[in-house]
Amino acid sequence: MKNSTAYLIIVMVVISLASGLVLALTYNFTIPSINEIAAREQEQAILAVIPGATKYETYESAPFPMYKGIDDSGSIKGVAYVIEGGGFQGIIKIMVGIDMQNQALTGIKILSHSETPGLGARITEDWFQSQFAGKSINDAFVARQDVEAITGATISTKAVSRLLKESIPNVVEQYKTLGGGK
Amino acid sequence: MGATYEFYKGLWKENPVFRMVMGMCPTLAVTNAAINGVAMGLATAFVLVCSNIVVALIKTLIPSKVRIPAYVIIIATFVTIADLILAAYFPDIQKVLGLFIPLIVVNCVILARAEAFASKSNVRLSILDALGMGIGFTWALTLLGIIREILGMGSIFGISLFGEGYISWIIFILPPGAFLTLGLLIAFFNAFSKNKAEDSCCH
Amino acid sequence: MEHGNLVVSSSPHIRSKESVNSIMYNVIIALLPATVAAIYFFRLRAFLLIAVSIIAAIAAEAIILKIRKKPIAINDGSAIITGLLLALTISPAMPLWMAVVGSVVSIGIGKQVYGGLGSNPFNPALVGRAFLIITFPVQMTTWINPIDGLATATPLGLQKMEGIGTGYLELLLGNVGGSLGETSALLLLIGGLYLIYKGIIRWYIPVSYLGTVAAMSLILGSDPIFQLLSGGLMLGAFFMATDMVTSPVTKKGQLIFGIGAGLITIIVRLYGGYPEGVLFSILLMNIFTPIIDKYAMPKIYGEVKSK
Repeated sequence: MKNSTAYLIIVMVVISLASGLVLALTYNFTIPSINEIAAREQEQAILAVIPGATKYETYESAPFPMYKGIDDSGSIKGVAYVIEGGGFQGIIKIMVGIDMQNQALTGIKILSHSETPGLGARITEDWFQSQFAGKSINDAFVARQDVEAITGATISTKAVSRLLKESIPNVVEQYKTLGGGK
Repeated sequence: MGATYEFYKGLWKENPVFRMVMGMCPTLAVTNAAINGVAMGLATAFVLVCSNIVVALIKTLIPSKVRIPAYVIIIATFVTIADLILAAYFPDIQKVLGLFIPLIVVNCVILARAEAFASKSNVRLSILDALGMGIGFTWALTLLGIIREILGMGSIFGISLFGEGYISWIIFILPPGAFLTLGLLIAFFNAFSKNKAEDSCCH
Repeated sequence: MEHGNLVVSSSPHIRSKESVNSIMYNVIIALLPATVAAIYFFRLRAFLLIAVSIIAAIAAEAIILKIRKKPIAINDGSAIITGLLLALTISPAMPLWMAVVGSVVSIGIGKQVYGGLGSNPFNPALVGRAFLIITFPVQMTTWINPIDGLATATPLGLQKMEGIGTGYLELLLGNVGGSLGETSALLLLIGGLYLIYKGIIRWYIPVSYLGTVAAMSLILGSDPIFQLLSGGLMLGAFFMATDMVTSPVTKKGQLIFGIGAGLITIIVRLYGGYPEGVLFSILLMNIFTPIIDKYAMPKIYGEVKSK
């Protein structure tokens, strides 16, 4: 009886059902916390690249993640968006903030990357990220000329610069079609 | 070969990393910092204890033909639980360990203990076995993490040891450093251990 | 000549102390022009780096042999060559202690863990260099100009990152940034030709290696003369790829080895993340040496007989 096909199927079904039940319970139990962490991280990243903003709204109709940062008085301090692309070893994901009135970057934050530790990974260091704040969005973003490069990691530096340079016109375009600051 | 032996053997004599050279994927992949070694070791130990308990409980009900798929479902369940709990309460660690948490499913230490021990023993001995193996796995990963973090970043558990001027030995936080450190540690332990050939279980 | 004087052509190797010694000392003689040039270009800094590397290599060899309870055979010259070759492949701007680390890794992890001279699958000096470039990438790629002592980039780095070329004459004479021993292609060529003349190495690997690099750079639209003269290619082709322990023993095998190394070098140089590919090309081909030997062996016997 123990080796009949029916018994095999029953055992596997019971084990799978039990597993599914346990996982469903765990998922329900943990998902509020997981969502909350994700939302908090997103808010922190957006507010970090738009100084002065205290809350943000999502551009629902934008084709890529795009947000506007708003200060206490309700005026728009800037637009933030997420861009990702190839670095030296893997995908670099960056949150970028732009002040559309002054046509300048307000800050960038590297969200995730897989660059070489100790070299390319230094793109997450403050001095590197903060050098972009205040740059005109019409800059050429040439590594080692107007972007200070990381020693031994020219390729990672160039990747960040290239991502910015390529994505900015798109965002400006989107911003206009979405009705600017309204 | 009493109950205490089943616990102690995993710590040294049958240590999964240094003596049996099992579970090499997480051992090599995540030990670039001490805290990662601790976290991965504990997550693995959690899965190990839970799966050993369940396997020991229901071993008589599982037909031998489907025992491996059944064990894998049980193990995968606990791995997913560990992943969710880490994501909910320790998001930073979960991010660093990333893909390697789900990959605990294929860690051969866990399937090996289920197949070689829990399926033939009672619950009490299975727990002791899993605890011993889990702690053995954890201290081995932590040791690797400590050595690699000190050399590769000049810090231990994130606390800087040598100040600003330290020149990091970057290779030790990269994959080749994992192989070098593990190889040299095994060589070192072998040099100070008698009956080397007999100790290793897996040929 | 390619068939005469072949003291070490067939495997298993039967070695007498004298032959190993004479081979090793001939290699050192062949490296002398490049070594002297390095000291001329980079002065005391180069001298210290070379001296420290060699002393550390000998010391590491002696200590590890003592731990392994083997006869301390440091006067066979192999540790001296490893130390010297390593020194010639590192930047003149390296701190001395890093050269010591490189030498110890070369001898320890590159050679002794495999059982010592003759058992190592990889060229020990290149293992040391690979360790250094991964461990201390910033220091290993900080170059200084031999003339004014200012920071500069290597010709390959300039070409790849900024698109700036370097003149042939400068490459030939060594008036460029680079590792201690790779700046002057001409002196390395002289040393390499001396080794071939003496019968220490055969021409198959250097010629097939350099030939492949030249041919592939023509095909892929790069300047073949620039590719030949720059970087560590001359040093690698004559002194490292030809290492008799880690390269195939037969003519056919050596040709395959050279062509493979040439392909990898040019691919890394033109498409890879690093500007220079000689190091990795030789290490990768070292891995293939046993397989090449296995499949190149029987046929080569037939060819030799038929001649």
